[in-house]
Amino acid sequence: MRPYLAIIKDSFRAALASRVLYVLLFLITFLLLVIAPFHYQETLDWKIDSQNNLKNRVALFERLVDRHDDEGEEVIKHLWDRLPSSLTDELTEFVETSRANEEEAVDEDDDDQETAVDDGDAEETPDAEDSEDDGDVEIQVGGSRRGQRNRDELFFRELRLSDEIANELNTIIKSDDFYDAQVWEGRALENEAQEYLDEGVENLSKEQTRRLNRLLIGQAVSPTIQSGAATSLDFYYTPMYQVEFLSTNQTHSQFKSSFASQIPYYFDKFVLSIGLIIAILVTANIIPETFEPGSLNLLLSKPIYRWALLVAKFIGGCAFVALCASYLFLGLWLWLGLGMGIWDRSILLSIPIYILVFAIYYSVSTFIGVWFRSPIVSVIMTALFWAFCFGIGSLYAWVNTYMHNCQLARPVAVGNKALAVDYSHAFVSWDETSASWKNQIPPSDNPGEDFAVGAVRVMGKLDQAPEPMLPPTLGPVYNSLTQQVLLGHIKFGDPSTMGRSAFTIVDLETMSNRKVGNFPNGAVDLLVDDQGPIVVGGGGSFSRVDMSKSKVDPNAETAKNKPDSKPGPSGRTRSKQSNMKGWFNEIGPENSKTVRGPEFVDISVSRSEIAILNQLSLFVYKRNTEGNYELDRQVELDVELPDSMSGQVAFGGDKIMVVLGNGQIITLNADTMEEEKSYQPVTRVAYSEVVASEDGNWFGVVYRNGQLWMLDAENPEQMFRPAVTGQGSVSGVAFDGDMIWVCDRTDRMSQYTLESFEKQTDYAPPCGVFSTPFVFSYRYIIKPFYKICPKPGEFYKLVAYLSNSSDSKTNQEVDLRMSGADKDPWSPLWSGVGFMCLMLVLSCLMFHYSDY
Amino acid sequence: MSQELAIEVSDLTKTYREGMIFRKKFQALKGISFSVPRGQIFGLLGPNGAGKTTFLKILLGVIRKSGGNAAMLGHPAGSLAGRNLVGYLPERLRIPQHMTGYTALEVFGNLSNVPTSTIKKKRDSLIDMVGLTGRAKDKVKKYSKGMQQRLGLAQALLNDPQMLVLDEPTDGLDPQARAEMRAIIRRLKEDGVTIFLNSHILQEVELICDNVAILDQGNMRYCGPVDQIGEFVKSQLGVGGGEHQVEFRVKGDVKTIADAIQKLGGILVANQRAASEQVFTVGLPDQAAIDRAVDELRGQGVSLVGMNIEQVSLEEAFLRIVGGSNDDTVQGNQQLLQNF
Repeated sequence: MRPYLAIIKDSFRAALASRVLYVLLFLITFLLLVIAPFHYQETLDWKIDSQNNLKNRVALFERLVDRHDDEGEEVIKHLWDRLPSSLTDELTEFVETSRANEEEAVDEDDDDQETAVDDGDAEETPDAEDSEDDGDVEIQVGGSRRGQRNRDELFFRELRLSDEIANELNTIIKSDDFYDAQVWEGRALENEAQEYLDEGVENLSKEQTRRLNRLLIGQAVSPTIQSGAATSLDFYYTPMYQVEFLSTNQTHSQFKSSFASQIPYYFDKFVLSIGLIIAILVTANIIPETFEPGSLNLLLSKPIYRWALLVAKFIGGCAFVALCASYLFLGLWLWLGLGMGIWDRSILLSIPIYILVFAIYYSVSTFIGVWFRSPIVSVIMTALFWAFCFGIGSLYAWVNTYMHNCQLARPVAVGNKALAVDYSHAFVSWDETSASWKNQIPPSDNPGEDFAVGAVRVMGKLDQAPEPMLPPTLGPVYNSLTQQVLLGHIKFGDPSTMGRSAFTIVDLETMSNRKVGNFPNGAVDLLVDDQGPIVVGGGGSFSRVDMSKSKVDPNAETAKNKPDSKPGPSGRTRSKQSNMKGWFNEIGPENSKTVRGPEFVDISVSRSEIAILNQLSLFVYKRNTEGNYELDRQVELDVELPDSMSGQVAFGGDKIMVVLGNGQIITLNADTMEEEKSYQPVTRVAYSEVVASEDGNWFGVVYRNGQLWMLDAENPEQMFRPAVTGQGSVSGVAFDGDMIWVCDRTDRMSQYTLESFEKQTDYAPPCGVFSTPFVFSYRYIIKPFYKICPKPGEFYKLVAYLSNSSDSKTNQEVDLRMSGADKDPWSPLWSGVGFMCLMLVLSCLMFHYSDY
Repeated sequence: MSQELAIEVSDLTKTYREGMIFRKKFQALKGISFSVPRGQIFGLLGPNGAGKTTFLKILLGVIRKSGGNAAMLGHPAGSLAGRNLVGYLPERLRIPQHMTGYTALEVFGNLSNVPTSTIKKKRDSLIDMVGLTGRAKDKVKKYSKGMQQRLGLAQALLNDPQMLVLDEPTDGLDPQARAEMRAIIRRLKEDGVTIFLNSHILQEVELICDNVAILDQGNMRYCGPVDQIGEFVKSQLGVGGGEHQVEFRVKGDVKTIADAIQKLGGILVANQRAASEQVFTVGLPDQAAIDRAVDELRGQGVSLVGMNIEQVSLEEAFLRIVGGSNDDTVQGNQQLLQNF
């Protein structure tokens, strides 16, 4: 070993002798000194941020406008009275305009839909009818454009108003006299607010008073203002200068979790990219200079193996980088630990991992160095290798994201009909004739819609973002009473309609669909019980959908033929159908609890009960004889976790399953609300979906890595991975009696028996070079090629995966849903090491068999 | 493989191939055979492109032979075991510029598997021996070419080699340093180290080498003692009709002298008249003929004032060997020698 250690040692000497090393060390020191004064302080969160806290702005405006009068809510009135009159006037005007515009938009949708249905029915739509309406069509087109313009204007007004109202609310929060005991009398307050009140308002500090006001306002207009975390973090550069734009309403724990999971990415893309370029430039000369005749002959005459000489030179080059990387990461680790209180091992793990990343690039440099014996050629070829990896990675990321968002996620199978919604809200049905999935709601004639859908599909994995990128998916659910499938459909091409789901009804007999209006603002889920569908609002209110209104023949619903039609604000006639008044009838509950998303609520049809998970407490609402739901029982989960921890509830039979963001799974007895069992089969990957069979005998948990884990209530000792095909690419499941439907491999929906997991039915479009070239290319060319390709730019995923922040075993407070998940985080390591070894073996062989 | 021989080569060939698709071949060694006994100073000579460096590279494992056999110190040429016993000073040695004299010795010593502690014990004496006293801590980039050569020799001696391969060791050295280098080489020989010397400076080779080999265009032209190369040239290639050139300085009758020469069967190469004597050169085949010629001249009454038998120098022999019968080649080699 002595000769080879001498080579490595000499590489260090060479590095120390070169000024480049000193320059690098100086730059690293400078960077560490620059960031060293940066730190934060955790304070009680009281600010309302229009960007982060006002998630449903229109709902907030409507709430304030509609509920501030005497018939409304006292707390809203209390708040409304404190807003400046200029703002309240503007809010009122905005809401009126918005509603008028919305109705107009629905009219347009109806017309679109009618046209679509006509087209779908047959091409024999009489031309005469079109020609009769020629004049009207022109007006409609003009009206449509005007309506679009109005909506765009309204959208920007909405943004401006949200900023203004956030500012005014923050001013109110700062006041000491906002709390009025009379106003809040009889109103159930959140635990934290109640604790402050119990302490006595006069005894509260200034900061605590503001926090209390923030909680009161949040609860008054719940759920339109997100409550956020209990504390916020204020960032400072030196003790004097506060960096306000960085302030975030997260707890230290949340910040630690999200920061630590994201820091590998930022290190990778900024600090290390520059570092790698420098390192490659500096080390490119090491191998070629070995081949200088006066140097090489002497080296080769020594009693050492050639391959070992080359490997030692290679390691020597890496050692140079190791020195710099160790210094940088140790410095960052100390800064994060001492300055920010984040002691995360991912920083230290970055040292060997990024040395490996460099080694991958350096192996290319070595191979080219041995081949061409020129440092310049080495650098150029290494740069080309980087470009190749970047190109392949970008192409794969783009295609993979697109394919991911096209994955079937919410299967609904009724009889021989199979329907599903994918992650990008596209609603598809299985077409036997063409043996393919057919888009049940084709993009409208809005030319921007197609583009918008495509853009949405490539902008990121829609189901895995820390914050929802799209409004919640409402449905699809099967309403057996009307034999219809109901769902909310979103148009992406029109920003002013974002957040509003179009109430769409699919008739299973004809497989025709029609939009009947919009779901209420703030709707988060669509459930169905034996009396019909129920819309769950973000505030926790349940509204029964009156499906009797949907029996009107849509083709006879043209506005101009309706005797009771009245002109809309844009001058167009509007139909009664677009007016959703009477469609949604509130059926409780009185003590509603905020529902943050569809995953926090589930229904047991057989028990006529709805379970809601709110701030780690489980509330079960039971339907009474009048058909209204009321709170029946509740339990606080026996976990010590932040209230903001994400979770999902699945309710089936006499069992409720709660899956928390940290991977913890708890089953409870639905009657006693007692915890039965706790599981945690996966500790580093967030769940994606949880479903329960109606009888409560089976539960299925789909993880973001495409794994399906199940719980058999009869054998509750441990969860198991069922033997279904496509484990690793499962995207959605649904129970159907004694069967389970599993969506996997993007577009396959298979049915299995629950007893033996034998496949019964399979809806999978054939994949061929000519029939589905895009899917074929992705599945058989791009994906396999990408798998074996080195991925030096993706090692941050492995670092993030290995860090404390992604291990809920070591940190129970970590919310895995907050960080992105990679199906195979080790892939960059295997492919990288494999590629590096290949390069080194080729280099050694070339070196060994060459004459010099 | 004999243990008595430092180098043993038989029918060694080396063919270079260039290009990836249409590969061109070039045969650098065309089946050479020779051996070098241990403890000798052996010189390898030859013009540029003769195959000297190729042979050295095969010996040291830098390149692979194409055919035949080569052994070094009882081990196959290029083997780790063989290389472990050898010290090598390459031509145009380039020591990495970041090293000092000491660190260079440490690195190259370690590469020869010499422990650092041993290197530290030996390095000062070696530095003194090669004449770098006081400069060992200086960066190599401050060294002259000659100093780097000296340092190269020092590193070659760190592992106490049984054989020292020196490729143009005096290249870049001043006359005094050359003399010192020769002294070192002789001392090493006395210590039992075999010296394999590849040099263009023929006078130097002639001064210190016991045996030489001459390579030309991949062929071995001569291998043997330095002092017999003239005999070889005379016997194999012939000089002046293949005979010894003997210069006679005589006094006597011209006709008598001419008759005597004719009787001897010799050839009058030159005939110079001095004041009272004549000088002529005769080509005679061997020593017996010379003795007979002297007897004949004396028998004819010719007074023999002086006589000189011409010796063939290594340089002349080299030129004649590598030039052969080809005048162009000879001219080329003469030009080559001028460059030396």
